[in-house]
Amino acid sequence: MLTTIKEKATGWVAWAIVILITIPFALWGIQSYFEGGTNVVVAEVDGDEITLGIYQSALADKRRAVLEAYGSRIDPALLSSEQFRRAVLDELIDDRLITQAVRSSGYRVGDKLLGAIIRSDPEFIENGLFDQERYANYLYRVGTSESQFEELSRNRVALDQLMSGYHLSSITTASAVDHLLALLIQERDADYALLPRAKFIDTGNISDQVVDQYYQSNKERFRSTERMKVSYLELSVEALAAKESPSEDEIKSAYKENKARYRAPEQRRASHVLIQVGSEAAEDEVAAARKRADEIAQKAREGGDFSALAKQYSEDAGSAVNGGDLGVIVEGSMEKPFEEAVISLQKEGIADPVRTQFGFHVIKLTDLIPERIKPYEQVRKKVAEEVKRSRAENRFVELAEAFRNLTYEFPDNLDTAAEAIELEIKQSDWFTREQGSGVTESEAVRNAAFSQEVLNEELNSEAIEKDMDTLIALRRHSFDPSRQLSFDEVSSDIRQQLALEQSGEQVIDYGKQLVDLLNKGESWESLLERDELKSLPAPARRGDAKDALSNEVLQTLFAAPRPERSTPVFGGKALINGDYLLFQLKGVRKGDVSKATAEERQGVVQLLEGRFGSELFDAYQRDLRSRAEIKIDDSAVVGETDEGL
Amino acid sequence: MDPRYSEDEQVEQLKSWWKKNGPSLIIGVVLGLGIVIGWQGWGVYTASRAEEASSLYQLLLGVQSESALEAGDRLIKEFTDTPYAAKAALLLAAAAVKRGDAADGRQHLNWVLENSEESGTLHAARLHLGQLELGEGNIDDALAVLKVGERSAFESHYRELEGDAYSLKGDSASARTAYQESLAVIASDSPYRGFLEAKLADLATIETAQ
Repeated sequence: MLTTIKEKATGWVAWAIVILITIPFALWGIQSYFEGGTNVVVAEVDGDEITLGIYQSALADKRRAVLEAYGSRIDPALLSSEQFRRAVLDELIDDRLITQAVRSSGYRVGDKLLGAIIRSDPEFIENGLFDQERYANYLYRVGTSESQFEELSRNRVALDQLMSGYHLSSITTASAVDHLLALLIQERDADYALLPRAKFIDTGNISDQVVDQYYQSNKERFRSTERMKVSYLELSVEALAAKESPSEDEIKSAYKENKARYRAPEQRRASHVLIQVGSEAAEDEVAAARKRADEIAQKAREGGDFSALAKQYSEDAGSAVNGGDLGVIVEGSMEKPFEEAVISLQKEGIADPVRTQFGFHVIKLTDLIPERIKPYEQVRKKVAEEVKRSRAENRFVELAEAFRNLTYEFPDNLDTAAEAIELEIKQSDWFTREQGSGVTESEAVRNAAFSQEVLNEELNSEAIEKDMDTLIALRRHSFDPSRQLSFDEVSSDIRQQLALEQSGEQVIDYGKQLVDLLNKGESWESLLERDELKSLPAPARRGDAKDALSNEVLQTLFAAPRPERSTPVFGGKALINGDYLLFQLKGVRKGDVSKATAEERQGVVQLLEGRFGSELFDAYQRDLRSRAEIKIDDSAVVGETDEGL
Repeated sequence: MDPRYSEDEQVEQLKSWWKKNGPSLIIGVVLGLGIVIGWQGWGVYTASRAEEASSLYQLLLGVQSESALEAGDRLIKEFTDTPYAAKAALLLAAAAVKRGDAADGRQHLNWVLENSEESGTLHAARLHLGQLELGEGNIDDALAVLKVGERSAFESHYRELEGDAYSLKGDSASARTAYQESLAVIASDSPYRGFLEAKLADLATIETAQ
């Protein structure tokens, strides 16, 4: 058969076959044959797959971003929690949904528009023109190719277009604004008093029998936490550095070798006169501002007192009062044209006006302290520290090897290593799995201490890298296992606890009785006096809260019904802190919106624009999500699939 | 191929098969190619229209000027088949209300309701129109606009505006229910929650406070 084809397939038949085979490649491209494959899929969004690789890199990115933003304030456990993983996956899914929506609804950004947008991006503009080199540098810096960046920008612009329809289309009518404003500045005239829960705590009221019963039925909760002490060796750069004592000559030669590092940089101090003009101002405005700036520069060059000129003409009110003085100009603190002008000037020189987003600046260099090398005496101490440190670092590397080996090869004691490396065996304080102090503040150290080898087999731990500059090896010194606490050890705690619980109910009961009395006609003043409570005036507006407590008080007061005629409304509420709030609401003054400040009005407008703007986009996203068919492989979110990241 | 036939016979069979089926096969292939090429051509055409609309829309998003408004009008008149027309109408409506021309705003929003098929855009237009009618004091018109079955994720917004409408009518009981239902489904991270709670709390009576 094959030979037949070979023989016959020379004429038009062959061509027909070739053409037929070519069509799919020509029309649909070849890439689909190379894509996909064995990738594990974490989620599927309307058939669009999110692979494990994409998910993991998003997870890593997000973790890095969170760590950068919060640093050590964030609990690392949170970053591998299921909650965190789910949030990252949710974000990816939303991204996919919105990308699909942008495409399927028909948003498109053509090459021409894209080009115009990239060319007008301030990031790539130098001297008012698009700069190819800046563009290339930027791409290099963020590590992306030109076509990738263009595709990304294209998607972003299209998404912005879709979003703008929600963000910018809100309609805020005067009546809607006034309605909210009236609520915001409504004033309520009220007094309140706090019935403290502490007054109702009475341990004498809890019988021994109740305490005993509680102990018996909750016995498993009353156990001591297991704790431990360890002996340990600590090899640290810091300790090694303290032992070093370099000679004067050695310090001097280090200073000579590294002179460049002990320099005080050049300092340039400048003053300026600002003529304001926005970056989007019309041409004639710009020309007028430029002319004025030129005139001022001229006056200054002709010997005019610069500080007087600044006081008279500068539209930068902050610096004008100081004669335009901006102090020493730190690199990166000003816009580029400004800095370049400052750098180009000689002392007492005046630059041609330069333009920034604020307007035109006439700049004078008022002082120039050239770069200089700090003298040896001034930096001797610092140099000595650096010499010690660098020697200690070398020594640390040498000793670390011996430290690891000796603590490992002689697992039954720390003495061998201690003698060989001249370290002292130290002893820790008591610590638990969760908490320690000093050396056991480190979680890594605690984990090593409670490991199988150390705790049960009583061997040396591995050398632990507490941080980059510190190695620790430890062994068990003493151990205190968890045990049942006796009744005598805990009875007073239990009594306290039960009394507290009881007081919570009692204060509420009592508070309600007081409200009843008030409603039956007893006066606020006499009732408070009898109970030795203090009447306090409440803040008037709902926004006047100064702390969590007054916020709670105000929320209660503003959720209370309005008093009719002159009878006050009485009420009460158990507060979060356990105390009971009593109040009398005497009157409600409708907010006079004509008296609201401009800021208050602006605040309400912004809030409304958000509610009927960006919040609508959020709703749209939730809507997309509820319509889409989303399949999630839960094992990827729950399980430890990202080990090794 | 059947081994019982010689190679010549096989060729003969192929030829007669081709005679019988050849023409229809060719027609089929040509037709198929035609559809594919036509489809792609249509794609290119709609894409270029969308790109043109996109550029106009970007103009509208820019500084508020005469040319921006013109771009908006052109989008609505000439690019009804792109998503940009409805978005432009929404923006023009907001601009109209801002300069005090409620009638123009109403007209644009109604245009969206009649011409758009995108559910999010329709919800936005309906809510904006409801807000506009409330502002104009046309409470019953507002309630009529807001009356729609499928509200999906926009429920909180619809219920809030209905609450406003009932409250303006003096029907506190209905307003309270509406606000309560709006609060029940408001996005958990909404900075607006406090205000919605304030609207509700302001309607408290002795009975509801118990």
